[in-house]
Amino acid sequence: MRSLYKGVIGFGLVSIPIQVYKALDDEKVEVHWLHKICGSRIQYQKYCPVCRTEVEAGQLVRGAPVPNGRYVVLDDEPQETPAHDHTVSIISFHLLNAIDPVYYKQAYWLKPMAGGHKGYRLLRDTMEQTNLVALAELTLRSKLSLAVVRAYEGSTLMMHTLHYPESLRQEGTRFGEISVPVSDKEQDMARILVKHMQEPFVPERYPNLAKRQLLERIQALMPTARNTQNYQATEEVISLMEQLRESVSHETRLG
Amino acid sequence: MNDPGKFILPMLGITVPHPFDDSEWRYEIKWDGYRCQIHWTDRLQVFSRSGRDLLQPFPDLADLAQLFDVPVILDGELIAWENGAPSYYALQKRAPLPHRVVVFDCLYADGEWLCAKPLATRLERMHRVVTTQGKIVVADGIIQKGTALWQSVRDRGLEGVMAKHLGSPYLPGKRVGYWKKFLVMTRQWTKVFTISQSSEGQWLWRMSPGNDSRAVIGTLPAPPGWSAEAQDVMTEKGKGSRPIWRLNRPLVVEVEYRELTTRGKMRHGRIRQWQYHT
Repeated sequence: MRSLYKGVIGFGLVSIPIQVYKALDDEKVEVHWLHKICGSRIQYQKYCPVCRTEVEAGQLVRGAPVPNGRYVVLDDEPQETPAHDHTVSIISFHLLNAIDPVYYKQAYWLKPMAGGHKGYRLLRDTMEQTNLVALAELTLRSKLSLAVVRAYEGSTLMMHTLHYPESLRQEGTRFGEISVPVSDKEQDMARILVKHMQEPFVPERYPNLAKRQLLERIQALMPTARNTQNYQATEEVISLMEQLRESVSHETRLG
Repeated sequence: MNDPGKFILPMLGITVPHPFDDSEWRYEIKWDGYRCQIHWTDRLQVFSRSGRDLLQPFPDLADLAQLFDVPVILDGELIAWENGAPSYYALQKRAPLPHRVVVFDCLYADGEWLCAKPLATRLERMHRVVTTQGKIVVADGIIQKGTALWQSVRDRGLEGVMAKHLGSPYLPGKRVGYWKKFLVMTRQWTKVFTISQSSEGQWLWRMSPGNDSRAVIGTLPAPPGWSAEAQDVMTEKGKGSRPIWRLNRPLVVEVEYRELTTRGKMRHGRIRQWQYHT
Protein backbone atom coordinates (compact mmCIF):
# COMPACT_ATOMS: atom_id res chain seq x y z
CA MET A 1 0.00 0.00 0.00
CA ARG A 2 1.43 3.33 -1.10
CA SER A 3 0.89 6.49 0.88
CA LEU A 4 -0.95 9.26 -0.97
CA TYR A 5 0.93 12.07 0.74
CA LYS A 6 2.62 13.15 3.94
CA GLY A 7 1.13 15.79 6.17
CA VAL A 8 0.52 16.93 9.72
CA ILE A 9 -2.44 16.96 12.06
CA GLY A 10 -2.57 20.37 13.71
CA PHE A 11 -4.08 19.95 17.17
CA GLY A 12 -3.76 23.07 19.33
CA LEU A 13 -0.07 23.82 19.59
CA VAL A 14 0.89 20.23 18.70
CA SER A 15 1.74 18.99 15.20
CA ILE A 16 1.49 15.27 14.56
CA PRO A 17 3.33 14.16 11.39
CA ILE A 18 1.35 11.54 9.50
CA GLN A 19 1.12 9.69 6.21
CA VAL A 20 -2.23 9.39 4.44
CA TYR A 21 -3.35 6.14 2.80
CA LYS A 22 -6.49 5.28 0.90
CA ALA A 23 -8.68 3.15 3.16
CA LEU A 24 -10.88 1.48 0.57
CA ASP A 25 -10.16 -0.47 -2.60
CA ASP A 26 -11.88 0.72 -5.72
CA GLU A 27 -15.04 -1.28 -6.13
CA LYS A 28 -14.82 -1.06 -9.87
CA VAL A 29 -12.42 -3.31 -11.74
CA GLU A 30 -10.19 -1.25 -14.01
CA VAL A 31 -11.31 -1.54 -17.63
CA HIS A 32 -10.41 0.58 -20.63
CA TRP A 33 -12.07 1.21 -23.96
CA LEU A 34 -10.27 -0.49 -26.85
CA HIS A 35 -10.79 -0.19 -30.57
CA LYS A 36 -12.63 -3.44 -31.32
CA ILE A 37 -10.94 -3.89 -34.69
CA CYS A 38 -7.28 -3.49 -33.79
CA GLY A 39 -7.39 -3.72 -29.99
CA SER A 40 -5.59 -0.44 -29.36
CA ARG A 41 -6.49 1.61 -26.35
CA ILE A 42 -8.43 4.61 -27.56
CA GLN A 43 -7.43 8.17 -26.83
CA TYR A 44 -9.65 11.11 -26.09
CA GLN A 45 -9.06 14.30 -27.98
CA LYS A 46 -10.15 17.76 -27.01
CA TYR A 47 -11.88 18.76 -30.21
CA CYS A 48 -13.33 22.06 -31.32
CA PRO A 49 -16.33 21.33 -33.56
CA VAL A 50 -16.34 24.88 -34.97
CA CYS A 51 -12.66 25.20 -35.89
CA ARG A 52 -12.61 21.46 -36.67
CA THR A 53 -9.33 20.95 -34.95
CA GLU A 54 -7.82 19.27 -31.96
CA VAL A 55 -7.21 21.83 -29.21
CA GLU A 56 -3.91 21.82 -27.36
CA ALA A 57 -3.63 22.37 -23.63
CA GLY A 58 -2.25 25.90 -24.03
CA GLN A 59 -5.34 26.97 -25.96
CA LEU A 60 -7.84 25.90 -23.31
CA VAL A 61 -9.52 28.19 -20.79
CA ARG A 62 -12.16 27.39 -18.24
CA GLY A 63 -15.60 28.92 -18.69
CA ALA A 64 -18.60 28.87 -16.41
CA PRO A 65 -21.96 28.49 -18.17
CA VAL A 66 -24.44 31.30 -17.43
CA PRO A 67 -28.03 31.57 -18.68
CA ASN A 68 -28.91 31.77 -22.39
CA GLY A 69 -26.02 29.55 -23.46
CA ARG A 70 -23.40 32.13 -22.59
CA TYR A 71 -20.14 31.64 -20.74
CA VAL A 72 -17.97 33.75 -18.50
CA VAL A 73 -14.30 32.92 -18.89
CA LEU A 74 -12.38 32.29 -15.71
CA ASP A 75 -8.78 33.30 -16.12
CA ASP A 76 -6.84 30.83 -14.04
CA GLU A 77 -5.08 32.59 -11.23
CA PRO A 78 -1.48 31.56 -10.67
CA GLN A 79 -1.37 28.72 -8.17
CA GLU A 80 0.42 29.58 -4.97
CA THR A 81 1.17 26.91 -2.43
CA PRO A 82 -0.22 27.94 0.94
CA ALA A 83 2.02 27.83 3.99
CA HIS A 84 -0.04 25.10 5.62
CA ASP A 85 -0.33 22.68 2.72
CA HIS A 86 -1.01 19.04 3.54
CA THR A 87 -2.35 20.02 6.94
CA VAL A 88 -5.29 18.57 8.82
CA SER A 89 -6.22 21.38 11.24
CA ILE A 90 -8.61 20.29 13.96
CA ILE A 91 -11.38 22.87 14.51
CA SER A 92 -13.69 21.25 17.06
CA PHE A 93 -14.93 17.96 18.54
CA HIS A 94 -18.40 16.42 18.11
CA LEU A 95 -20.35 13.29 18.88
CA LEU A 96 -19.95 10.87 15.98
CA ASN A 97 -23.68 10.62 15.35
CA ALA A 98 -24.03 14.39 15.33
CA ILE A 99 -22.49 14.40 11.84
CA ASP A 100 -24.90 12.69 9.50
CA PRO A 101 -23.38 9.97 7.21
CA VAL A 102 -24.70 11.88 4.17
CA TYR A 103 -21.69 14.19 4.40
CA TYR A 104 -19.05 11.45 4.28
CA LYS A 105 -16.96 11.19 1.12
CA GLN A 106 -13.67 9.26 1.04
CA ALA A 107 -11.99 7.32 3.87
CA TYR A 108 -8.25 7.37 4.61
CA TRP A 109 -5.94 5.68 7.08
CA LEU A 110 -3.62 7.98 9.00
CA LYS A 111 -0.25 6.55 9.97
CA PRO A 112 2.00 8.28 12.52
CA MET A 113 5.51 9.19 11.41
CA ALA A 114 8.66 9.72 13.47
CA GLY A 115 8.02 12.28 16.20
CA GLY A 116 4.26 11.83 15.99
CA HIS A 117 3.62 8.59 17.82
CA LYS A 118 2.85 10.08 21.21
CA GLY A 119 0.53 12.83 19.96
CA TYR A 120 -1.19 10.32 17.67
CA ARG A 121 -1.79 7.94 20.56
CA LEU A 122 -3.04 10.66 22.92
CA LEU A 123 -5.47 12.08 20.37
CA ARG A 124 -6.79 8.66 19.43
CA ASP A 125 -7.27 7.39 22.97
CA THR A 126 -8.89 10.62 24.17
CA MET A 127 -11.40 10.62 21.35
CA GLU A 128 -12.23 6.99 22.07
CA GLN A 129 -12.72 7.58 25.78
CA THR A 130 -14.87 10.68 25.24
CA ASN A 131 -16.81 9.26 22.28
CA LEU A 132 -15.94 12.35 20.28
CA VAL A 133 -14.67 12.85 16.76
CA ALA A 134 -12.63 15.76 15.44
CA LEU A 135 -13.91 18.08 12.75
CA ALA A 136 -10.97 19.39 10.74
CA GLU A 137 -10.07 21.50 7.76
CA LEU A 138 -7.87 19.73 5.24
CA THR A 139 -5.56 21.68 2.97
CA LEU A 140 -4.32 19.67 0.02
CA ARG A 141 -2.56 21.24 -2.95
CA SER A 142 -4.12 24.60 -2.09
CA LYS A 143 -7.62 23.12 -2.03
CA LEU A 144 -9.67 23.20 1.15
CA SER A 145 -11.97 20.47 2.31
CA LEU A 146 -13.81 19.50 5.49
CA ALA A 147 -12.78 16.29 7.19
CA VAL A 148 -13.51 14.14 10.22
CA VAL A 149 -10.70 12.46 12.14
CA ARG A 150 -11.79 9.65 14.41
CA ALA A 151 -10.53 6.68 16.39
CA TYR A 152 -10.95 3.43 14.49
CA GLU A 153 -11.05 0.04 16.26
CA GLY A 154 -7.80 -0.96 17.88
CA SER A 155 -5.18 1.73 17.68
CA THR A 156 -5.67 3.70 14.50
CA LEU A 157 -6.89 7.09 13.35
CA MET A 158 -9.09 7.33 10.31
CA MET A 159 -9.91 10.41 8.28
CA HIS A 160 -13.00 11.01 6.19
CA THR A 161 -13.32 13.88 3.76
CA LEU A 162 -16.72 15.54 3.99
CA HIS A 163 -19.10 17.23 1.62
CA TYR A 164 -19.85 20.80 2.62
CA PRO A 165 -23.16 20.81 4.51
CA GLU A 166 -24.66 23.43 2.20
CA SER A 167 -24.43 20.93 -0.68
CA LEU A 168 -27.25 18.91 0.87
CA ARG A 169 -30.42 19.40 -1.14
CA GLN A 170 -32.90 20.52 1.47
CA GLU A 171 -36.12 19.75 -0.38
CA GLY A 172 -35.54 16.04 0.23
CA THR A 173 -35.85 16.47 3.98
CA ARG A 174 -39.61 17.04 3.56
CA PHE A 175 -40.33 14.04 1.33
CA GLY A 176 -41.76 12.05 4.28
CA GLU A 177 -44.05 14.76 5.61
CA ILE A 178 -47.29 13.29 4.40
CA SER A 179 -49.82 12.59 7.11
CA VAL A 180 -51.08 9.01 7.12
CA PRO A 181 -52.86 7.39 10.08
CA VAL A 182 -50.77 4.64 11.74
CA SER A 183 -52.37 2.59 14.50
CA ASP A 184 -50.53 1.46 17.61
CA LYS A 185 -51.01 -2.10 16.45
CA GLU A 186 -49.32 -1.46 13.13
CA GLN A 187 -46.53 0.38 14.88
CA ASP A 188 -46.03 -2.56 17.25
CA MET A 189 -45.97 -5.09 14.44
CA ALA A 190 -43.41 -3.10 12.53
CA ARG A 191 -41.30 -2.83 15.65
CA ILE A 192 -41.49 -6.57 16.26
CA LEU A 193 -40.49 -7.31 12.67
CA VAL A 194 -37.56 -4.92 12.77
CA LYS A 195 -36.38 -6.24 16.12
CA HIS A 196 -36.69 -9.76 14.81
CA MET A 197 -34.46 -8.92 11.86
CA GLN A 198 -31.88 -7.17 14.01
CA GLU A 199 -28.50 -8.88 14.06
CA PRO A 200 -24.84 -8.03 14.55
CA PHE A 201 -23.18 -6.54 11.45
CA VAL A 202 -20.77 -9.13 10.05
CA PRO A 203 -18.87 -7.57 7.13
CA GLU A 204 -17.85 -10.97 5.70
CA ARG A 205 -21.48 -11.74 4.93
CA TYR A 206 -21.60 -9.12 2.21
CA PRO A 207 -19.07 -9.99 -0.49
CA ASN A 208 -18.90 -7.94 -3.70
CA LEU A 209 -20.06 -10.78 -5.94
CA ALA A 210 -20.15 -8.80 -9.16
CA LYS A 211 -16.53 -7.71 -8.74
CA ARG A 212 -15.41 -11.23 -7.89
CA GLN A 213 -17.18 -12.65 -10.92
CA LEU A 214 -15.61 -10.08 -13.22
CA LEU A 215 -12.15 -10.76 -11.77
CA GLU A 216 -12.67 -14.49 -12.30
CA ARG A 217 -13.71 -13.84 -15.88
CA ILE A 218 -10.57 -11.79 -16.46
CA GLN A 219 -8.45 -14.53 -14.91
CA ALA A 220 -10.00 -17.17 -17.16
CA LEU A 221 -9.30 -14.97 -20.21
CA MET A 222 -5.63 -14.50 -19.30
CA PRO A 223 -4.41 -17.01 -21.92
CA THR A 224 -5.97 -14.82 -24.62
CA ALA A 225 -4.34 -11.61 -23.37
CA ARG A 226 -2.76 -9.67 -26.22
CA ASN A 227 -0.31 -6.89 -26.38
CA THR A 228 -1.86 -4.55 -28.90
CA GLN A 229 0.59 -1.72 -28.92
CA ASN A 230 -0.31 -0.77 -32.42
CA TYR A 231 2.29 1.91 -32.93
CA GLN A 232 5.13 -0.56 -32.33
CA ALA A 233 4.16 -2.91 -35.14
CA THR A 234 5.76 -0.90 -37.95
CA GLU A 235 8.99 -0.55 -35.99
CA GLU A 236 9.07 -4.28 -35.38
CA VAL A 237 8.42 -5.15 -39.04
CA ILE A 238 11.19 -2.80 -40.16
CA SER A 239 13.56 -4.04 -37.49
CA LEU A 240 12.94 -7.63 -38.59
CA MET A 241 13.70 -6.70 -42.22
CA GLU A 242 16.86 -4.90 -41.13
CA GLN A 243 18.02 -7.83 -39.02
CA LEU A 244 17.62 -10.13 -42.00
CA ARG A 245 19.50 -7.75 -44.30
CA GLU A 246 22.26 -7.53 -41.70
CA SER A 247 22.55 -11.28 -41.27
CA VAL A 248 22.62 -11.81 -45.04
CA SER A 249 25.48 -9.35 -45.54
CA HIS A 250 27.51 -11.16 -42.89
CA GLU A 251 27.00 -14.63 -44.24
CA THR A 252 29.33 -16.31 -46.67
CA ARG A 253 27.75 -17.33 -49.93
CA LEU A 254 27.63 -21.03 -49.30
CA GLY A 255 27.45 -20.94 -45.51
CA MET B 1 -6.65 -2.17 -68.30
CA ASN B 2 -7.93 1.35 -68.55
CA ASP B 3 -9.86 1.88 -65.35
CA PRO B 4 -7.54 2.10 -62.32
CA GLY B 5 -10.59 1.58 -60.10
CA LYS B 6 -10.95 -2.04 -61.26
CA PHE B 7 -9.42 -5.04 -59.54
CA ILE B 8 -6.44 -6.65 -61.28
CA LEU B 9 -5.72 -10.34 -60.84
CA PRO B 10 -2.50 -10.55 -58.83
CA MET B 11 0.62 -12.05 -60.34
CA LEU B 12 1.63 -15.32 -58.68
CA GLY B 13 4.85 -17.21 -58.17
CA ILE B 14 5.81 -20.83 -58.74
CA THR B 15 7.11 -22.88 -55.83
CA VAL B 16 10.66 -24.08 -56.22
CA PRO B 17 12.27 -26.62 -53.88
CA HIS B 18 15.61 -24.89 -53.36
CA PRO B 19 16.83 -21.33 -52.92
CA PHE B 20 19.23 -19.89 -55.47
CA ASP B 21 21.50 -16.88 -55.92
CA ASP B 22 21.27 -14.65 -58.98
CA SER B 23 22.28 -11.01 -59.40
CA GLU B 24 19.31 -10.43 -61.76
CA TRP B 25 16.92 -11.33 -58.98
CA ARG B 26 15.51 -9.53 -55.95
CA TYR B 27 14.64 -11.53 -52.84
CA GLU B 28 12.02 -10.50 -50.30
CA ILE B 29 10.58 -11.98 -47.14
CA LYS B 30 7.39 -13.86 -47.94
CA TRP B 31 4.96 -12.65 -45.29
CA ASP B 32 2.23 -14.97 -44.08
CA GLY B 33 -0.96 -12.98 -44.48
CA TYR B 34 -3.60 -12.06 -47.08
CA ARG B 35 -2.61 -10.84 -50.52
CA CYS B 36 -3.81 -7.29 -50.71
CA GLN B 37 -4.25 -4.85 -53.61
CA ILE B 38 -4.66 -1.20 -52.68
CA HIS B 39 -6.33 1.16 -55.15
CA TRP B 40 -6.36 4.81 -54.29
CA THR B 41 -8.00 6.61 -57.17
CA ASP B 42 -11.05 8.76 -56.59
CA ARG B 43 -11.63 6.58 -53.50
CA LEU B 44 -9.91 3.82 -51.54
CA GLN B 45 -10.45 0.18 -52.45
CA VAL B 46 -8.63 -2.77 -50.92
CA PHE B 47 -8.97 -6.12 -52.68
CA SER B 48 -8.07 -9.65 -51.62
CA ARG B 49 -6.27 -12.12 -53.88
CA SER B 50 -9.60 -13.10 -55.44
CA GLY B 51 -10.92 -9.54 -55.63
CA ARG B 52 -13.02 -9.53 -52.46
CA ASP B 53 -13.35 -6.25 -50.58
CA LEU B 54 -10.95 -6.36 -47.61
CA LEU B 55 -12.35 -3.15 -46.14
CA GLN B 56 -15.39 -5.17 -45.11
CA PRO B 57 -13.60 -7.57 -42.75
CA PHE B 58 -10.86 -5.06 -41.88
CA PRO B 59 -12.52 -1.63 -41.70
CA ASP B 60 -9.47 -0.20 -39.94
CA LEU B 61 -7.70 -0.28 -43.33
CA ALA B 62 -9.84 2.71 -44.34
CA ASP B 63 -7.20 5.04 -42.97
CA LEU B 64 -4.84 3.94 -45.77
CA ALA B 65 -6.65 6.62 -47.77
CA GLN B 66 -4.76 9.34 -45.91
CA LEU B 67 -1.33 8.14 -47.06
CA PHE B 68 -1.32 8.93 -50.78
CA ASP B 69 -0.90 12.10 -52.80
CA VAL B 70 -1.36 10.70 -56.30
CA PRO B 71 -3.60 7.91 -57.63
CA VAL B 72 -1.88 4.54 -57.17
CA ILE B 73 -2.39 0.79 -57.33
CA LEU B 74 -0.13 -1.13 -54.97
CA ASP B 75 0.36 -4.85 -54.50
CA GLY B 76 1.21 -6.16 -51.06
CA GLU B 77 0.47 -8.50 -48.20
CA LEU B 78 -1.87 -7.73 -45.31
CA ILE B 79 -0.50 -9.06 -42.03
CA ALA B 80 -1.68 -9.11 -38.42
CA TRP B 81 1.22 -8.46 -36.06
CA GLU B 82 1.43 -10.42 -32.83
CA ASN B 83 4.38 -10.78 -30.48
CA GLY B 84 6.96 -9.77 -33.04
CA ALA B 85 5.73 -11.88 -35.95
CA PRO B 86 2.88 -12.04 -38.46
CA SER B 87 -0.01 -14.27 -37.41
CA TYR B 88 -2.13 -15.79 -40.17
CA TYR B 89 -4.31 -17.36 -37.51
CA ALA B 90 -5.08 -13.92 -36.05
CA LEU B 91 -6.13 -12.65 -39.49
CA GLN B 92 -8.44 -15.62 -39.92
CA LYS B 93 -10.00 -15.02 -36.53
CA ARG B 94 -10.24 -11.24 -37.11
CA ALA B 95 -8.40 -10.87 -33.83
CA PRO B 96 -8.01 -7.31 -32.60
CA LEU B 97 -4.33 -6.85 -33.50
CA PRO B 98 -2.35 -4.21 -35.37
CA HIS B 99 -2.64 -4.62 -39.15
CA ARG B 100 0.03 -3.66 -41.66
CA VAL B 101 0.23 -3.88 -45.42
CA VAL B 102 3.72 -4.69 -46.65
CA VAL B 103 3.70 -3.24 -50.17
CA PHE B 104 6.06 -4.74 -52.73
CA ASP B 105 4.86 -3.65 -56.16
CA CYS B 106 3.30 -0.69 -57.92
CA LEU B 107 1.03 -1.28 -60.92
CA TYR B 108 -0.21 2.24 -61.51
CA ALA B 109 0.95 5.65 -60.40
CA ASP B 110 -0.25 9.15 -61.21
CA GLY B 111 -2.12 8.30 -64.40
CA GLU B 112 0.44 5.85 -65.76
CA TRP B 113 0.17 2.07 -66.03
CA LEU B 114 3.38 0.30 -64.98
CA CYS B 115 2.59 -3.38 -65.48
CA ALA B 116 4.60 -3.60 -68.72
CA LYS B 117 7.63 -1.93 -67.11
CA PRO B 118 10.38 -4.05 -65.54
CA LEU B 119 10.17 -4.74 -61.81
CA ALA B 120 13.17 -2.46 -61.12
CA THR B 121 11.30 0.50 -62.64
CA ARG B 122 8.08 -0.33 -60.82
CA LEU B 123 9.92 -0.43 -57.49
CA GLU B 124 11.53 2.91 -58.22
CA ARG B 125 8.09 4.40 -58.89
CA MET B 126 6.70 2.71 -55.78
CA HIS B 127 9.30 4.41 -53.58
CA ARG B 128 8.37 7.75 -55.11
CA VAL B 129 4.63 7.48 -54.36
CA VAL B 130 4.58 5.71 -51.01
CA THR B 131 6.68 5.61 -47.86
CA THR B 132 6.48 3.59 -44.70
CA GLN B 133 3.84 5.31 -42.57
CA GLY B 134 0.53 4.52 -40.94
CA LYS B 135 -0.41 0.94 -41.76
CA ILE B 136 1.90 0.83 -44.81
CA VAL B 137 5.34 -0.73 -44.68
CA VAL B 138 7.38 -0.60 -47.88
CA ALA B 139 9.04 -3.98 -48.42
CA ASP B 140 12.79 -4.36 -48.25
CA GLY B 141 14.56 -6.52 -50.80
CA ILE B 142 17.98 -8.03 -51.24
CA ILE B 143 19.70 -8.57 -54.58
CA GLN B 144 21.44 -11.85 -55.38
CA LYS B 145 21.77 -13.39 -51.91
CA GLY B 146 18.72 -15.65 -52.01
CA THR B 147 20.27 -18.59 -50.21
CA ALA B 148 21.55 -16.50 -47.33
CA LEU B 149 18.17 -14.75 -46.94
CA TRP B 150 16.40 -18.09 -46.99
CA GLN B 151 18.64 -19.33 -44.17
CA SER B 152 17.96 -16.23 -42.07
CA VAL B 153 14.25 -16.44 -42.76
CA ARG B 154 14.30 -20.08 -41.71
CA ASP B 155 16.18 -19.27 -38.50
CA ARG B 156 13.43 -16.81 -37.58
CA GLY B 157 10.60 -19.17 -38.40
CA LEU B 158 9.17 -16.96 -41.15
CA GLU B 159 7.20 -18.39 -44.06
CA GLY B 160 9.74 -18.23 -46.85
CA VAL B 161 11.33 -16.08 -49.55
CA MET B 162 9.89 -14.58 -52.74
CA ALA B 163 12.38 -14.25 -55.58
CA LYS B 164 11.51 -11.85 -58.42
CA HIS B 165 13.31 -11.22 -61.68
CA LEU B 166 14.26 -7.53 -61.78
CA GLY B 167 13.60 -7.31 -65.52
CA SER B 168 10.18 -8.94 -65.45
CA PRO B 169 6.85 -7.28 -66.23
CA TYR B 170 3.79 -7.64 -63.98
CA LEU B 171 1.64 -10.32 -65.56
CA PRO B 172 -1.84 -10.17 -63.96
CA GLY B 173 -3.23 -13.53 -62.90
CA LYS B 174 -0.22 -15.41 -64.26
CA ARG B 175 1.81 -17.95 -62.32
CA VAL B 176 5.10 -17.90 -64.21
CA GLY B 177 8.78 -18.35 -63.51
CA TYR B 178 9.50 -14.63 -63.12
CA TRP B 179 8.39 -14.99 -59.51
CA LYS B 180 9.60 -17.96 -57.50
CA LYS B 181 8.96 -18.79 -53.90
CA PHE B 182 10.95 -21.11 -51.71
CA LEU B 183 9.17 -21.94 -48.51
CA VAL B 184 10.69 -22.70 -45.16
CA MET B 185 7.65 -24.54 -43.94
CA THR B 186 5.60 -27.38 -45.37
CA ARG B 187 1.87 -26.98 -44.92
CA GLN B 188 -0.60 -29.77 -44.43
CA TRP B 189 -4.22 -30.15 -43.45
CA THR B 190 -4.67 -32.60 -40.58
CA LYS B 191 -7.45 -33.74 -38.29
CA VAL B 192 -7.54 -33.76 -34.54
CA PHE B 193 -9.55 -36.66 -33.14
CA THR B 194 -7.84 -36.93 -29.78
CA ILE B 195 -6.30 -34.59 -27.24
CA SER B 196 -4.16 -34.90 -24.16
CA GLN B 197 -2.95 -32.52 -21.50
CA SER B 198 0.55 -31.43 -20.50
CA SER B 199 1.67 -31.65 -16.90
CA GLU B 200 1.03 -27.86 -16.68
CA GLY B 201 -2.57 -28.34 -17.78
CA GLN B 202 -2.08 -27.07 -21.35
CA TRP B 203 -4.35 -28.86 -23.84
CA LEU B 204 -2.46 -30.69 -26.57
CA TRP B 205 -3.86 -31.46 -30.01
CA ARG B 206 -2.81 -34.71 -31.66
CA MET B 207 -2.60 -34.24 -35.43
CA SER B 208 -3.56 -37.07 -37.76
CA PRO B 209 -2.88 -36.77 -41.49
CA GLY B 210 -5.75 -39.07 -42.45
CA ASN B 211 -8.79 -40.56 -40.79
CA ASP B 212 -6.88 -42.92 -38.53
CA SER B 213 -6.75 -41.27 -35.10
CA ARG B 214 -3.84 -43.54 -34.08
CA ALA B 215 -1.56 -42.25 -36.83
CA VAL B 216 -0.28 -38.99 -35.37
CA ILE B 217 2.38 -36.80 -37.02
CA GLY B 218 2.73 -34.56 -34.01
CA THR B 219 1.25 -33.04 -30.89
CA LEU B 220 0.92 -29.25 -30.58
CA PRO B 221 -0.40 -27.00 -27.82
CA ALA B 222 -3.98 -25.88 -28.50
CA PRO B 223 -4.30 -22.18 -29.43
CA PRO B 224 -4.86 -19.73 -26.57
CA GLY B 225 -8.48 -19.57 -25.57
CA TRP B 226 -9.34 -23.07 -26.77
CA SER B 227 -10.41 -25.30 -23.95
CA ALA B 228 -11.67 -28.84 -23.86
CA GLU B 229 -14.14 -28.11 -21.10
CA ALA B 230 -16.46 -26.65 -23.66
CA GLN B 231 -16.44 -29.86 -25.66
CA ASP B 232 -17.95 -33.21 -25.01
CA VAL B 233 -14.95 -35.40 -24.59
CA MET B 234 -14.69 -39.10 -23.91
CA THR B 235 -11.69 -40.60 -22.19
CA GLU B 236 -10.04 -43.05 -24.51
CA LYS B 237 -7.22 -44.75 -22.68
CA GLY B 238 -4.29 -43.96 -20.52
CA LYS B 239 -1.01 -44.15 -22.35
CA GLY B 240 1.23 -44.50 -19.34
CA SER B 241 -0.11 -42.09 -16.74
CA ARG B 242 -1.44 -39.55 -19.24
CA PRO B 243 -4.99 -40.02 -20.46
CA ILE B 244 -6.07 -39.31 -24.01
CA TRP B 245 -9.51 -37.89 -24.69
CA ARG B 246 -11.49 -38.38 -27.86
CA LEU B 247 -13.31 -35.30 -29.18
CA ASN B 248 -16.90 -35.87 -30.18
CA ARG B 249 -16.44 -33.19 -32.80
CA PRO B 250 -13.04 -33.50 -34.54
CA LEU B 251 -11.07 -30.43 -35.55
CA VAL B 252 -9.61 -29.68 -38.94
CA VAL B 253 -6.24 -28.04 -38.54
CA GLU B 254 -3.72 -26.69 -41.02
CA VAL B 255 -0.24 -27.17 -39.64
CA GLU B 256 3.11 -26.09 -40.99
CA TYR B 257 6.43 -27.66 -40.19
CA ARG B 258 10.05 -27.54 -41.24
CA GLU B 259 10.29 -31.23 -42.07
CA LEU B 260 9.19 -34.70 -41.02
CA THR B 261 11.59 -36.81 -38.99
CA THR B 262 12.52 -40.29 -40.17
CA ARG B 263 9.80 -41.58 -37.85
CA GLY B 264 7.28 -39.34 -39.56
CA LYS B 265 6.89 -36.68 -36.88
CA MET B 266 6.76 -32.91 -37.47
CA ARG B 267 9.80 -30.81 -36.64
CA HIS B 268 9.12 -27.17 -35.64
CA GLY B 269 5.43 -27.71 -36.16
CA ARG B 270 2.84 -25.01 -35.55
CA ILE B 271 -0.84 -24.38 -36.14
CA ARG B 272 -1.67 -22.08 -39.05
CA GLN B 273 -5.45 -22.21 -38.92
CA TRP B 274 -8.24 -24.47 -37.67
CA GLN B 275 -11.96 -25.04 -37.59
CA TYR B 276 -14.44 -27.63 -36.37
CA HIS B 277 -15.05 -30.53 -38.73
CA THR B 278 -18.40 -30.13 -40.43
